Amino acid sequence: MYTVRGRSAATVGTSNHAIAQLWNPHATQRIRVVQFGVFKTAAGGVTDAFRLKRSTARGTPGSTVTPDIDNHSERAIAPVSGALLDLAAFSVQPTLAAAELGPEVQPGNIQGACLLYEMPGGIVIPPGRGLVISQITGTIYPVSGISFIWTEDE
Amino acid sequence: MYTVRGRTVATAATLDHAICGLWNPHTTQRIKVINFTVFKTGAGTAGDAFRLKRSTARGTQGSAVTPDIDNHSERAVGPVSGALLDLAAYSVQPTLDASELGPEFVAAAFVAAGIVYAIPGGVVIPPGTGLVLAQTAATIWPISGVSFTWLEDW
Repeated sequence: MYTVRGRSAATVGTSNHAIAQLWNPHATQRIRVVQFGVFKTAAGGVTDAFRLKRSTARGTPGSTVTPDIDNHSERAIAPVSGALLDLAAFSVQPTLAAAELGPEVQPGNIQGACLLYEMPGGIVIPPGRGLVISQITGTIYPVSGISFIWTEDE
Repeated sequence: MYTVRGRTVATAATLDHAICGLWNPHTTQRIKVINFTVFKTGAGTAGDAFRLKRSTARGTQGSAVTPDIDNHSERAVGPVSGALLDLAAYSVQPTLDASELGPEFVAAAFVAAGIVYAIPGGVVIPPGTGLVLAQTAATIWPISGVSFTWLEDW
């Protein structure tokens, strides 16, 4: 099991823009996301909201975190998939599938508003695909602490 | 299973300073952290935040709590690892690995802002290393109640 953390930059006020993405660049390896976290560092807007969407093209993230062996729960092996944490603001948005995955989160407009969400059964990211925390509303989502936990050895 | 609690002193307003850490001094015994908690006793500052990092050298903690047999869930045996709860303010900071483990916790600037976090799958601390709650903002993290729960025999 792996865990990674990063901090997003503020998005622009546009629906469907990505706050963060876990991207699986591997040609064959699937990964299963079991938890994600989002914590606002500033109040943001009253109607801020997001949900999960799958992505079929990575886009161009504002910054990226590359997990290594220290991100493994037993510090035994770096992620075989080469999974990457991509963070806003994207200069080219990921290509999103139309389907919307739960939950929809509407955080309060207060610094520290947050969600830690354990996914029932997890969500598998196939090879060459991603999972995006994607805005619903056309508001500027503020700088946020982002984390994902996933497995590669199921 | 073991649990230990302590109270930190306020940190300096410096990025990556340790709020607290669980240190495993044993030469061979691994331990697995499955839960941690942090609760502020003062409001602190807007922007207070931390995430987990692994440590490779203990540093010099402000104070330490040494768990014994009474910290065992069955009151059967003291921790074989000799695990120690180290608390801010450190006079010498722990040596931190660069990798950042999730989640990032951004705390509201309120008394009693806190988190109770059950780590999916746990995080193993190898012998002679530690796990640190390290600041992601250059703010004074206030005096806090902190705790860890871990396994030595999974």
